[in-house]
Amino acid sequence: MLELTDVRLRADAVEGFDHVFQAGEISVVLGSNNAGKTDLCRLIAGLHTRASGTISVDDCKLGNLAPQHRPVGLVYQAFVNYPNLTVSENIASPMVARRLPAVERDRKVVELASMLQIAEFLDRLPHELSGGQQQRLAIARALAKDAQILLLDEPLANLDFKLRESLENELRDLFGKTSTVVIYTSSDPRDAFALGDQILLLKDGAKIQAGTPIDVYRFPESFAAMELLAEPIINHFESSGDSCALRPEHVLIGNDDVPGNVDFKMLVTANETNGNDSFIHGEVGGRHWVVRCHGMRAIDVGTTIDLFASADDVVCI
Amino acid sequence: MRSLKPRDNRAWFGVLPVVLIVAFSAVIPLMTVVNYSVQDILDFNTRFFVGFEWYRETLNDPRFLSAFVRQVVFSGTILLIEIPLGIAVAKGIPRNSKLTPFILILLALPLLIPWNVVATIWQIFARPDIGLLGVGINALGIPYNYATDPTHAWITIVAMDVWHWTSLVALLAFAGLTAIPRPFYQAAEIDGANRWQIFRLIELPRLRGVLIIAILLRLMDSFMIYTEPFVLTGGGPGNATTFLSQYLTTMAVGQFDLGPAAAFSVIYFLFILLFCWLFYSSVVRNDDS
Repeated sequence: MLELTDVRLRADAVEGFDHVFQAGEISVVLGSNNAGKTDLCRLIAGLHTRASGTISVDDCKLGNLAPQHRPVGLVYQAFVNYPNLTVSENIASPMVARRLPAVERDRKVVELASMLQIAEFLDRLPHELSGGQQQRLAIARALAKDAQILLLDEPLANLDFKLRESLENELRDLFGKTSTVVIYTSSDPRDAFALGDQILLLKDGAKIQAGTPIDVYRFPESFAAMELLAEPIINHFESSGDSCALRPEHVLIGNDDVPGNVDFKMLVTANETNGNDSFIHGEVGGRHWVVRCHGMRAIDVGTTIDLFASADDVVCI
Repeated sequence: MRSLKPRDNRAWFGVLPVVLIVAFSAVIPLMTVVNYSVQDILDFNTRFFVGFEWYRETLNDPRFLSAFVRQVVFSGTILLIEIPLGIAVAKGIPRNSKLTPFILILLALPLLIPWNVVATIWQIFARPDIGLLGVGINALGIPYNYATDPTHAWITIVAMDVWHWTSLVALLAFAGLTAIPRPFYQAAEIDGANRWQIFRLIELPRLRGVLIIAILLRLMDSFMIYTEPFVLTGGGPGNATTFLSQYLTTMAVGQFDLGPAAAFSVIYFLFILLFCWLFYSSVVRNDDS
């Protein structure tokens, strides 16, 4: 269990926040760029950062403990390995620093390498591996420290998306079995659903909500929280004086008279599609809206269409 | 399957300017020298073909051999000093300070001074009667005089070269160091690597490319050194600081032995080429293994 108390990710933060990461769970820290994700990782790892706060692991305060003495492993967005050490030497490096006996070291290297499917490359140098393999190596190195806490700071951001998906599935299987606190930062809401047992939402260096992905998705406490889990934006409107919002996927095209539904008229301004989904951009009440619908779809720009949504999906704050 | 595109050889015209420049700047002069090197030239109209006679003579000339040994020792010495010192200086430059640009300009200053001026500065600086360095060392009780003592002459020339060129290595190494992403240092910190390990496992491998360039540049330049020892010591005392280029000049311009001097030049050229090739290929072969 990793407990954060009075964490301020920015030097000028007015008040700090508290959070608890449970062992054996993957926590996805979600936030846009510059939300403080990397600062949070550095703070936990004990690296130089502008963030401040108290960190305790299993009720034991870490204080000013140096990074190498903390039970923390860290994987970066960039593929960070020792360039002139082989794969096996790289995996062994944290264990060498901790002066583990050679026999145990070798056993552990083989175990970790086969777990991360890089066992056949043990004698190669990092630059002879593909990007995905280099990042597997970095993860193996982080695990070799036998850390209670594993920090993954946007580890898959530099990989192409097919590789990301397969590695994501592997990581979930890998970490699901351990009793490690896994903290995975990302700016992609899909990661939150794919990996997260718990999620923590950050914005401008502050915690805005935490919980299971489904809970946060269904019951956002703020538009900012809703926005972080929405793709691409959320659609704002006013309803009897309240500020309300709808997710793009909850707005449907058509005219429906079922009582309890809400209706809108949208002037279409642009179309976008990725094959799977189409995004119809338009204006509702002077605000930019996006409607997400399944499959390839396009509507002539300049036409006005009817929209409706279930009242259950409307979030009013 | 044959390509459907018609062959177009006009692209060769694009290469023509380069071919012309290289021909006039390198190939033709080199061929002239090769031509001279196989002839005995009494005057411009009286020449005899002598084959490889001058080459044989040069390679058996004890003065050539001792100049060659001096040259190798000199290049080896300054590389052994300038490369580590340059890296050390580069590591000492602050990365993101307001002072950084000033330090870089200060470092670049010796590189901007013409070579004969550098030599003149040191000639005066090291003089035992009026030079600050020379008088200073003598005041310490050491009878320092670069004009009479071969060892002192050597130390002075090496010190001058180190002063003149370490900046180049330092600037290259600094550029290499700033290109290392911060996460590498943080990862090493988390692993518990000490400063020496960080240097050996992260910085040195990442500096490899710029260091290869630095070593090649310094190797070639120092092997051709002429102006500085010529001005500072004139090759003396005795022949103690006569390097290859100076011996060659004496032979070609002083004694007008064009044939032997040409053979000497070709051998000289081939040696520089050989050293650079040996160094580079050993480095590149290490990359493959």
